[in-house]
Amino acid sequence: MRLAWGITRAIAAAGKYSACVYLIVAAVILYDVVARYVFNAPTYWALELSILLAASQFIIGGLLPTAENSHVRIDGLYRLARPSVRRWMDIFAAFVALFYMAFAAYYCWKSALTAIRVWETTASIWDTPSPTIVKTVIALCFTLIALQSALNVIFWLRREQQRPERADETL
Amino acid sequence: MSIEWLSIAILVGLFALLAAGVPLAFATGAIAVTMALTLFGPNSLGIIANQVYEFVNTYALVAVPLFMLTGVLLERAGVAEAVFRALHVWSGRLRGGMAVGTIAAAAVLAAMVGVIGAEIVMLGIVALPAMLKRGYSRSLALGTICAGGSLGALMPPSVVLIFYGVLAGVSISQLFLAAVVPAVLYALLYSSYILVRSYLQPSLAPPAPPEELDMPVLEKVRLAQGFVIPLLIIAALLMSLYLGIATPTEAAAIAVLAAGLTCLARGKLSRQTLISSLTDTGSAIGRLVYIFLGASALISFYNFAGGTRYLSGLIVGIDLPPLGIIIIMMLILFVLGFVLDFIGILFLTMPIFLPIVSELGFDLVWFGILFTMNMQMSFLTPPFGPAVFYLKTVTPPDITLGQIFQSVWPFVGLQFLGLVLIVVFPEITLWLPGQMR
Repeated sequence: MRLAWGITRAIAAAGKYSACVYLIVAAVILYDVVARYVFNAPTYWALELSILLAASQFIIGGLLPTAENSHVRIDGLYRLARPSVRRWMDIFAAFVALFYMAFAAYYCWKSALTAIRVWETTASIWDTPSPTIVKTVIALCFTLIALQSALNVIFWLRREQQRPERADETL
Repeated sequence: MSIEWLSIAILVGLFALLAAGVPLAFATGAIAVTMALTLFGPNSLGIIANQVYEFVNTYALVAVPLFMLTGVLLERAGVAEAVFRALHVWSGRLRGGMAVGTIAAAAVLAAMVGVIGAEIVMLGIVALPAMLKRGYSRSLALGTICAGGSLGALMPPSVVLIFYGVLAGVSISQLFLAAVVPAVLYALLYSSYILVRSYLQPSLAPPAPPEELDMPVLEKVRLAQGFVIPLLIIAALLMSLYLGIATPTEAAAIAVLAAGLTCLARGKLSRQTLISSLTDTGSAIGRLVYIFLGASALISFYNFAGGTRYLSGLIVGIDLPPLGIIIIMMLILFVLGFVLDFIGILFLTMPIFLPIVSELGFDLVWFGILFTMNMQMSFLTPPFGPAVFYLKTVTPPDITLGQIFQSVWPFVGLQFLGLVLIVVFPEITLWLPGQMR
């Protein structure tokens, strides 16, 4: 069980700290604006780099809500349910997530492995392996979400209610 | 299985899963997988991988987390207080002045913030205690904040509009400009309603205390300092879009810098603030992206089964003039708004609606604004009204969810009125972007 909680904390932390890339994204885009208007020399790498970083985070961003069970739900009945019923609702929801994400992960790995084999690149001036990286990140994150959903089922079955700290949901 | 029965099965399955508390992202995705396995064989699931990759690689979407980060940073910087203070002092001589000031502050904040959560929390922390202390009726105060705060999702830079633009293939700058007048129209409708009600029932909105009214003019003018930064940010955003010198994504990066500097200038930029702002942003965008992924997988497989054609046929087959079909679509969106999240509605309905709208010869920018205005109502209406839930997180414990939900109905009525105006007079929204074309 300690291993399971360790994995959960690691998944939550990855989801949490990945968002720091947005500072780099903002800086890269600002640099590009300045380079274009002040130095009159737009960069060839800013667009590609900012999309690569943001695209990866979009996918990694799903990890934390899975670990802390805060994905958007229509919670009319969920709120009203007694805790014992709610526990079964949570178990069922985690099963559904596991079913979907396991299939999605399998087919995303197929596509990622193909990309790795041919070493897919952007074929732009900068020519980075950005497609290979993003596809691998997608496959990896879907696998982690499937894994986390399986762990969530176990946690609820064992009535281990303690969860990683919940981020405030003001967005 | 015939397409009629398939459509019914999907709807029933989706609502059953949602009612059972399954998150939207996973409910739609699981139905998509089930449909693919039973109808098309497992290998068809390969398209999910392609879809995910194509979607996250969209340049315009980079603006979304940046605008969200701007909103969170401004919230932490306490910008709302200064703006609200100035506006309610200036409107002190009006009956209901403080509520009108709240609406005006909400409109100013909305022009910097792309999501309703950050904005409603700001107003709930700053304006709600002030109005309650003054003795405003609870219902008026709560409704004002929910309706005003929801402007964040209509006034540019609205995240809803960015997602719509990506999906409809319309220029996001055009959508932003088209949203300005409708957002101001909503703010004016809300303010007029507050004024009329407080003149008819003065007990709802007690007047300002004398020391505030008798504040020296010079001091009143000095309150304008609170606007300097917001107005700079808004001007930079609008000018860069209007003059076309920066893309919305670049404007978003500039906004992040401005918001960061604001935090710094107000001494609120600690490492903790920064990390928590980033974390909130990262999870919020993650939730949205996964809803998109599930919904678009569902729509694709439904489309393969001929569902989109079937539904378009049903809608177009209704014996109505083109505008009537638009009205039917608005009704469908309104009803879905009671139970679904805006992003889910967007991704589930637009692939079906948009081809019909263009075929009927309507402007997709106009339709996008109608959609976004419609979603304003969905933020307020029970049982799934995000605005109300956000406000509840910062209200005093003796205010119940039920009280907040009861307070929003007059404002939902005004939103409906605004929507009708834009349907009847499309020029209201299309004039400003027309200036740029």
